[in-house]
Amino acid sequence: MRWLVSDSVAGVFEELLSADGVLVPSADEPWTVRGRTPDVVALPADEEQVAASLRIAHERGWPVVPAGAGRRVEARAASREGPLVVLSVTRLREVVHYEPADLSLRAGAGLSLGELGESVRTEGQWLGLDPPGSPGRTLGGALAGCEHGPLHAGVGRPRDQVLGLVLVSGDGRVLRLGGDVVKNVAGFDLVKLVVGSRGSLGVITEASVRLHPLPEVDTTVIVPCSSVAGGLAALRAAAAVPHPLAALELFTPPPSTALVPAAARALVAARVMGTRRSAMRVLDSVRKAFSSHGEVIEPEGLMGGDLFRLAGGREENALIGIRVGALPSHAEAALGPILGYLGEAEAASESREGSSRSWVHIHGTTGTLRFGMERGESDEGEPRDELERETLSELGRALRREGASLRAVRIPASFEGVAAEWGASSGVQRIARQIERVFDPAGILVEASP
Amino acid sequence: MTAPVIPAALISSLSRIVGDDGVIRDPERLLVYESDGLTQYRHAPAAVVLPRTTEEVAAVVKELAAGGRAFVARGAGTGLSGGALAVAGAVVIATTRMNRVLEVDVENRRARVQPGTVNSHLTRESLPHGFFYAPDPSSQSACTIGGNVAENSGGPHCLKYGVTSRYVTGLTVVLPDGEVVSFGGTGVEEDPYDLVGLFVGSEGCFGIATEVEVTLTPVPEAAAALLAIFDRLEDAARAVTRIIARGLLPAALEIVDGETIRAVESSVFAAGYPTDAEAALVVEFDGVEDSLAEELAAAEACCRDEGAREVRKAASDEEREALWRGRKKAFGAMGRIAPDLLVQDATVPRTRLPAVLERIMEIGRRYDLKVANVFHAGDGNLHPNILFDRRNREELARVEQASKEMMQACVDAGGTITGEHGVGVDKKEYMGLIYSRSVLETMEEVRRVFDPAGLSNPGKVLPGSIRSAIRGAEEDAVARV
Ligand SMILES: Cc1cc2nc3c(=O)[nH]c(=O)nc-3n(C[C@H](O)[C@H](O)[C@H](O)COP(=O)(O)OP(=O)(O)OC[C@H]3O[C@@H](n4cnc5c(N)ncnc54)[C@H](O)[C@@H]3O)c2cc1C
Repeated sequence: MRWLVSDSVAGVFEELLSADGVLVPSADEPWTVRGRTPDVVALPADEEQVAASLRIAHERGWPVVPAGAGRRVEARAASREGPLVVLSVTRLREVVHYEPADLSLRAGAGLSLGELGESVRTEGQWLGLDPPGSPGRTLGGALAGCEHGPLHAGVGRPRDQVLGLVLVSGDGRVLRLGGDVVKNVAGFDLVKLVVGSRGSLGVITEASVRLHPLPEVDTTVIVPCSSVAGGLAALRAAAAVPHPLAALELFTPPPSTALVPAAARALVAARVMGTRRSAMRVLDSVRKAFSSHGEVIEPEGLMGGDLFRLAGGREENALIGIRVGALPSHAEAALGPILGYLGEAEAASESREGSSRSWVHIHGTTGTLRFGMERGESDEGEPRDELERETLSELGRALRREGASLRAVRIPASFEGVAAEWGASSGVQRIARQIERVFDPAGILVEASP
Repeated sequence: MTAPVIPAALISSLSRIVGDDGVIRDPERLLVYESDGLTQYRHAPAAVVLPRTTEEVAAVVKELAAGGRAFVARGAGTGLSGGALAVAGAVVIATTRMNRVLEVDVENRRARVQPGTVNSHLTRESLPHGFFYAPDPSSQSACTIGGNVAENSGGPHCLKYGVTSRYVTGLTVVLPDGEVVSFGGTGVEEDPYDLVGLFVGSEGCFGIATEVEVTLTPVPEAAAALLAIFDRLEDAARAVTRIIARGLLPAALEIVDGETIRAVESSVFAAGYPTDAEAALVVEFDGVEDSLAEELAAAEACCRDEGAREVRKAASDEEREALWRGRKKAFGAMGRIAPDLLVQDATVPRTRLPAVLERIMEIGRRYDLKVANVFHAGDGNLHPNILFDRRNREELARVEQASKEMMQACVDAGGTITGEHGVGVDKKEYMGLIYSRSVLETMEEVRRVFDPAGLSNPGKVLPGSIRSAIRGAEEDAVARV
């Protein structure tokens, strides 16, 4: 009798949001939460409607998955009892305030990063947010997600780009946090708490972000290397360059592009921004650092961020995506076990159709590693076998013994138990749970990964 | 003012933890701890405790918590919002003896320090390795990293480099019940929320930071600066807006107004700024040497376009330091021309600087007060400083009224009530100007997660009405003298 439940849930939201604010997903409207079709996709048109939707869900105890524009939402515990509601902010896409000379902009959380980028580019500005994935990702999703892209080497983490935001809490309170100015220490910094919270504290409906002037030069130099060890050496050499780089990453295997010889096992890429004169000097130093590790390529016509976006694409489409934190000096030691694990996992999946491809990306300046498996044809959220789970769990134990820490960014439902082994200390967990209760007293919000 | 009473048994347990020389009860010695840099507020602590380690802090806090006794962390006491004031019979836990740089880890570009480490000492220890600690409050030769963490302090070069929160990567914290937890850390991915980001700027209300991990920054290859002299303060502000809008990225953009220039020039700190000018703007660029001359020339053009009557460029590091002198000595000089100084602090959108400055000066005139501005103009972070004599009660009342109106002017312009000095006791009643009741209540609830018993720096940050609505009890009123 599930349709009956759905029907009434949809009815409740229709009353709040009118018919164009409610979508009951069907086969040709492919919304899924971990493979489960939600009962209702709520598409509120403004902050008030977001608040009203959350108040209703709070009162009735209906689980809500906050979402941006993405139709395939990976959320933990999609198996929770009760009707499942997805709340998408995709209709909140207005630029609320933009005064270019202030280098800041306030916009609805549903605005895509691509659109936002376009509208500030005409004013000679850009936004330093580059989470892995397509320009279709929403501002709200990029802030709620905990992933920072390669640019954080040069401009800081996503949380450093946010001046203020509006959060509608799990019980429907509208909280206008922070402000629109670049320096603000009034009260506790709840903005930091919300950025990276993956929807577990509420729905971001609006954000004010810092902008940067477009640099005269924004370019990327790369060095393909015939071995991963060679790549690591190039990465280390470039990290020691005494000038700030906008981004510095190692990719293994290299993302597939005609620029990179097929035999290369790793690719190191450095992005340089600045005035023409300063960029020339920095490029010189990077070239020198790279030169003894392979043939340095300065791809003509490759815009600064293109290559990084290409690599980010495979992070976004990963079936498994895991971040490993390590001190830069320990990143190499962590890499060995990871490559070992991926080798085994690939071998195991080769026996199946549409075999998966694995990758590792390393941030040159922080030592953070991301690794994952691309989604094969037949992998649509499908659980992998016990053996693979056990190997991953073992990898986690080995890395943690070495002082590294792990965080699952994207993971199949059947692997959630493994990811749970990587939790923070009990003190931190307790604080986290209590904070969740402040923002979401009925515990209806379902943490989503983008 | 006499210190609140404290049971002798508590004093002896505290002495057992930190040693007899680690507990201060002598009223003479307690005087120092009666106020911070905002001397209008004074309140004697019940006692001062000087622990040396995380374990000692934890033991002290446990002891105090067991007796329901409030406490407040204190660094150097240079805070400008009354944050380190001991109200509600609180014991001060001072970090004076926790002043060691524990590690400068060049390979990983980070340092670990005890919270009582003086800001400039960290840079001093990092320089030989080619690094520095970027956040540089003007008080950096005295203020501590722990205080910087609690206030999320800024400084002149934060325009380019960002404020404290960008640099703090990990914390060891003694929670208000004595439990020791660690948040974040380089290479730590597992925290479910950014608790480091939340703790930075929490003004001592979430517990005591006993170890701080920070990111170090490579020393730039070179720096270049100019000093532009203006006949009108508004023109200097407009030059700042123009420099930012033009897409230049200076390391610092600081304004000193005429009142301040005259104070500096008539003091021992005389820096050679013209005393008939109404504003001086310091513009500094740093980075790769090759582009500095070009950037400086572009900034000079912006200044001239806005009516700068003179532009001095520094040709050497010594000359650059000389250009900065008038800015750096401003506070010291002002202290000499009036018995009291109320350093205000607010941020406005950068394009609103000229209009807001005009309003601030108008308010000063209307209340017949001397107002001197020295501020981080590039960030829109204003410091209208009111000079007065606190013994003159009538004047003091005007000071209070004027500073309230100045805050309102900044908020009306789309700004905020504090850019870097924090709320403390001084601005808690202004919080309602920028936040709704539900935001303030949420802040109080988050504070309760860390401090359910309300013992860690009570009476700060949130307005009394919010605290009592949630806690059902009023806290000690703060004496203003
Ligand atoms: C002349 C002058 C210039 C200044 N310039 C600037 C400037 O440019 N930028 C700027 O931002 N500020 C500036 N300030 C303000 C002040 O120096 C800063 O707020 C500084 O960070 C305070 O550090 P402190 O060690 O003196 O802290 P204190 O004044 O001792 O304490 C400040 C707050 O921090 C808390 N605290 C201290 N240690 C800890 C700890 N270990 N754990 C938890 N909480 C703790 C205290 O409880 C209190 O609430 C200036 C002050 C003066 C007097």
